[in-house]
This record gives sequence, structure tokens and C-alpha cells, in this order.
Amino acid sequence: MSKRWLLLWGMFFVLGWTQAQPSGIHIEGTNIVLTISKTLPRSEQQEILEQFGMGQLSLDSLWRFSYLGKWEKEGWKIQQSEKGVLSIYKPIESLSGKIISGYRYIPNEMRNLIAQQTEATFGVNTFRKPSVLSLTNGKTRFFYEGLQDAGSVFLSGTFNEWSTIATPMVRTDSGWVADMALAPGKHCYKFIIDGHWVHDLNNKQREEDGHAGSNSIYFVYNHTFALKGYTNAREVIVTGSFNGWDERALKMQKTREGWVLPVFIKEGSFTYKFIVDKKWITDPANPQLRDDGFGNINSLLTKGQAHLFTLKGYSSAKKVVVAGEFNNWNPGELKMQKTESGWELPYVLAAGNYQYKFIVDGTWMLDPANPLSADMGGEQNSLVAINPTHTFMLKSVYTNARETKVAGNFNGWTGYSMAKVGTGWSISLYVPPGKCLYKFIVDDQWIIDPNNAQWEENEFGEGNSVLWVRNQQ
Amino acid sequence: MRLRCILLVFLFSPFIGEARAIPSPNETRALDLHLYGNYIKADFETLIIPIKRINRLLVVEARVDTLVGNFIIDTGAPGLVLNNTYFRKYWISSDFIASNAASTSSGPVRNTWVNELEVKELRLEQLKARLTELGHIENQTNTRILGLLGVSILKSFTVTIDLQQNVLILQRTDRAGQSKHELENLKGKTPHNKSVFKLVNNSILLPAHIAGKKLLFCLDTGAETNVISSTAPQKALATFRVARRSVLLGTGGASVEVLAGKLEKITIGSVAYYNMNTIVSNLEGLGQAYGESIHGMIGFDLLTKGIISINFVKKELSIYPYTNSTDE
Repeated sequence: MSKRWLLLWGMFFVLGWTQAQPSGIHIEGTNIVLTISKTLPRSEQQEILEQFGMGQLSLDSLWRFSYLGKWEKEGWKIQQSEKGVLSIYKPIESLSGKIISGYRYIPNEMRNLIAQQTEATFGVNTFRKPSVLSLTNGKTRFFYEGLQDAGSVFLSGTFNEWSTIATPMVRTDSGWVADMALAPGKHCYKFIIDGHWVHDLNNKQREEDGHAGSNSIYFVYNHTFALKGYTNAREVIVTGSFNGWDERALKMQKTREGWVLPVFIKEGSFTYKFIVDKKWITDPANPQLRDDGFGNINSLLTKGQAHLFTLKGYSSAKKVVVAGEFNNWNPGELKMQKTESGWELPYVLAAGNYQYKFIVDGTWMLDPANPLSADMGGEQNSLVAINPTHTFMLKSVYTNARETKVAGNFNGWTGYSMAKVGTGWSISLYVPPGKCLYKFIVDDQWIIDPNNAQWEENEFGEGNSVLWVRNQQ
Repeated sequence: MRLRCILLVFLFSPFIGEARAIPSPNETRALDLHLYGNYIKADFETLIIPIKRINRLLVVEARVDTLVGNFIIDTGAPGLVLNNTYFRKYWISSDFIASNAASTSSGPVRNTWVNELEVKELRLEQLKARLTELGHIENQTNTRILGLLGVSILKSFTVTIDLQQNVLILQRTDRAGQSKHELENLKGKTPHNKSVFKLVNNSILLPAHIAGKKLLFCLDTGAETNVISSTAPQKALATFRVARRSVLLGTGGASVEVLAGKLEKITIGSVAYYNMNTIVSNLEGLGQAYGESIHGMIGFDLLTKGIISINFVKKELSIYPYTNSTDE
């Protein structure tokens, strides 16, 4: 068969599908084909293009000019029939790239939904029989009763990154124990008995593990609600913004002096009230109150460390305000208080890195006492890290550098300027748990961390330094 | 004759034991690793290893020399594969130069060796390993992955993977492929499907039928989805329903264009599996790695169909039904 005949045959073939195939993506013979009928609503046409990974193409350009843009270079062809059917196609054999043994690829839409370990705003433990105890030395004891015949029992959870080998439990007369130093918060766990995963049957707090099983949950407490007196009351409940003002869930425990309830409560500000035999009262021991805007006065609970913003001098200024990422750069909200030496404002912030500026009588300025700064779209801001988890250090080789920054996946690869410390550069930042990819920028030159042997290749044929930040226990 | 003697000394040298000097990674950089074997210390009849599930990946914890961490159970890999990020300082074997022609889009295939690999009570020594970039798996899962455990590490045992219990079980077998003890997981169960396989270059090659065509697939527990080659017979590809086209990114900017969708029907052994998640991709050149022309990979989805048991002596894959009820 001559080339001309082949070409003609190919054209008939293409015209064949444009008429026969419904809109969508199909494999036809040796080709992969997308077909769109003009009669389809535009939103559906656009959706098919999206599914084909060509969502950036303009439908107008496609219909009017058969314009395929960069996809033409990748071997894609376009054909329109008189009946208003458009086809984009190429031979299936010419799919680009190769799957390589040892390499793993998967489209996002095929990913299993993994059970997100939901972050808890607050939590209270409930046991059938206590199996996790808070010890006087501050540690937490996990206990599995019995199992005298077991060869090994391990404790695995969010606190040891679900390690199957890091935390062996110790055999005792009555069962198996492991003591852990845990930070306040929500901790998920399981036991591994002779290689088999089991959740804690004595713990009523659990959530799905995403694989048809359950993870047990234990909360390490960081706050105790207390109400003195009212010893004749039948029931006292604490309710607040942290649990959607649930009027039943959190029953307080009676003591000789009154009522208490230890809980875990997340960093932030919350309002709450006690319900004493169905009567709502504010916390008499807490002077901090807040109006809910409808004339209801609630008690206010603030969790977390306050950061003290300070500005020395400027004693003749009339108004000094701090504004930053934490309040969406609101220039009127956070007014600083005048002190003997300048201005200050304590403000509670959750763990993170925040850019901010002071506004002195309407003029925006950097914090003169803070050497750390960040770049936001060309604008320089001061930077504060609350509860930093890692200190980036660049040693003496770069003493003569004018400026050194660190950029990574934790800050969207924008540079945070480092401070000169001794013979090198340093910055302590909040880096979230998990994998951190980063680089240093020394006088505009990007380099991997010379003191970190762990790095991986990036899309520019260079490297990114790799750092793993552990969950805070 | 002299050459044969030298070869024999090398071949049996692992059994000489402690007296043998093991060169440290920094000593000599030109030793040919082909001369090294590995031997196994495994004082167990049955070893139950808990599996951690990360998306569709099966992860166990193991130690390579001084590093302890996560490894993916990957029957798609011939042996031990190490993540460059953590093993970059390991020296590269001289066969790297010879195999340089088989370079991939993410750089050449590089080989090294490790002194020890330990997975619970299983220990392998003087083990050849391949170095590669696995950063993209870490970035997708936000989990530190030290490497992949492939077939050569598992094939001395009957390997059972139970994703209901999330365990990997290694059992010693005799020459006839029989194990001493029946597994708790399999008590009272008979396999509802069996298939023979070929073991070629440490790859498990399973025959399968699509649209009446006999195709050859690699059983790949590390593949999060089934993969079928874009060069598979037209008749077989015609039964693939395309959901979308995607461009997937690997480490170092390597990209692969794939069609994601479902395969209407694939028969493995005596059982037909319908609508399995599958991607169509260019697998050209992969056949060389397996030493045979293969049409794709059967991955994670098969493990969800039942408890799978791979008997490397009988060259037989058995699939047992999962228990319906949960513990609650």
C-alpha cells in the first residue's frame, strides 16, 4: 500500500470516529481520541477537556482555528467534521515518558483517601477500663492487660510515627506496659501483638484508620475546668465554643470542693459557660469575660503563649499598631499599648511563621529590633516564628555574604532572611511535621545545605536539601 | 582451571564466615559486585511482619546497616532498592559503568552494596542494592522512605500478604514447597483462585487474559495501580475505559503521560476481575528489565481481592477469600 493510500485510509478512520463516537475519551484502534460534539453544553465540553489534561485550551480557539497550542508539539492532531464533532488524537504508542521499574507513578484521582488524623480542638478520654494512665512523673503509661502467652507487644502511634519496632512494651505480672513522654494533644495508637495490629478494646475513643480498622485515641490534657462550691448541685456541665456549645457532652466530676473536668484544648481563644442544674453561669473564678455581640456574657479562655510585640522609642507617636499575616494585615485592629520605653502588645498566636509590620501614626515600618525578615511579592516584612521546630544554620564559609536566606516548601519557596550569628547565619522557624525540602540563597545564588548530606534531585536538575521534622510528642 | 578455582572461592566465600574481610565503602571503589552473594540468617519457621499502609503502598520497617526506617514491599523490584537521598555516600559498583547504557530519564541506574539488611528476625548480609531517586514517593505521601524490598529478599520463603490484618508473613518451605505450619490467617480457608507464574530475573510474571488475548504481567505489590502497556494488543486495549489523561511527575522532573481508567475484565488464574483501576502507559524498554516481553503490571488492586500467597518453590500464586466480618 502506498503512503498516499495509508494517509487516505487514516483520514477516513478519523472521520469514522468523529461521527461514531460519543463525546469523551476513547481508545480507537491504535489511537487515543478525545471527541467533543458542538451540541454539548459548553460546561461539559470544558469538563471533557479538563479530563484530558488540556483544560488550559480555549474552546473558542479550538472550534474556530483548530488551535492546539503546545500540545501540537507533543504529537496531538485535531480534526473537525462537518457535523460539528471535534477530535483530538494521537497514536496511543506515542504516549510520552516511560514508566520505569522502581519508579512509582499514580494519578492523584486514583489515590485512596487516607484517614486524615483529624486535628482535635478539644478532647476528653473515655475508657471502659483505664488502659492509658497519666503518671506522676509526667509520662503516659499504656497498658495491655493479660496476653501472658504473647511473644512480643509493641506500641505504635502518631507519637512514634507509627513505628512497628521503636516502642516495645514490657511484660509485667498483669500485662504489658510502655511509658511515653507525650505533649498535650490528641494521640492515635494501636498495639502490635505478635505482628498483628489491634486497637485498644478498653478505650472508647477511636476513629477509622482508613483501612477498615480503628485507631484508638488518647488525649493528654492541658487544662482543667473547675467550679468551686455548688456541691449540692446534681449535675454541672461545661460548654463552649470549642464543642459547639453542646449542652450535654461534658459532664464535670464532683469533688469535695466543687466540680472539675480535665480536658485537652487546642491553642486559641474560646468562650465557655457552666450549666449548673440547667442554669447557665459564667466562671466565677475567671475575670476574663466576652460579650458574644447579642448581649450574652461568656467566660473567655485563652490557650497558648502570648508573643510580646515591642517597639522601643517613638514616645511622641499618637498611635502604634501591629498588623500581619495573623490578622490579614488589618491596620486598625491590634493597637499597641504605650509603656515607659516605647510600645508593646501581647498577642496569642498558634505555632507558625508570621510576617508583620508596625504602623506608627499611619507609616508602615519594619520591626527595627528584629533581624529576621521575609519577602512578600517584593515587599519586605519582619518575621516572627512561634514555637519554632528547626534552626537552619549556614556555617562560616559564607561569613562574607551580604545576605543569606532560606527558602523551602514550608514557606512557598520565598526567601526568609537569616540573621548573622557569630561566624555564620541562622534562623529558627516553625517547620510543620513531615518532609521539608529547602535551599539557602546566598547573595542570590541558590545552594543546597553544605552541612546536610540528605538531598534529592529537583525538576531543575539540581538538588533540594531534605529534612524530616518529627511530630511534637 | 585456576580461574574456576578463584570463582569457586568467591562463590563460597560468604560461608567462610566472620574471618572474611568485608571491605568498607571507602576502601576500594572498583570491586565487581557480581562476585558477591548474600546469605540469610532466619531463625524462624514463620515470621509475621506488621504492614503500615500508606495510601496504596505497603510499608514495613527495616534496618540497612545503621539506618532504620520504612521500606516498601515491592515485588516489582528485583531486589533491594535504596533511596539516593539517604545512601548517597555509598560507593557505586564497577558494574554501574557497564550498565550505564540502561540510564533512565532520572539518571543512570547505579548499584552498590550494603553489609546488612534486617527485617525483624530476617537478616541478609553482603547484599547488592540499586540506588535510585525515590523522593517523589516521599513527597506524595509525606513519609520517609528508605527504599524498596524486592523479590530476591523474599523469594526464599512463601510470602503471604493479608491486607485485612495488615501483615506480611514469611514462611519457610521445604523442597516441595510445603510449610510446616498452617497459618492462622488461612485456617479453614481454601484458595478461590490459583495461578502459576514464571520467575524471570527476580520478577514474578503472571499470565492473564484480556479480550481473549494471553498477556504477561508482572505481579508488582509496589504498583499503586495496574499498568498496561500502550503497545499491548489492540483488542485488549479496546476494553480499557478511559477516565482521563494525566501527566505524572517523578523525581527530578521526569514525567510520564498516562491514561487513567478501568479495565473491563481481566482473567488471572481461573477468576475474572472486573473494572480494575488501571493506567495505560509507555512501557517500552521495561521488557528488557524483566528479560521477557511483558504487557504491564498487576498491582495493589489484586491484593484487595483476597489474601495472596506467593509460593516461590511451586511457582504458584494463591488467593484466599478475606473474612467478611470485622472484629466489631
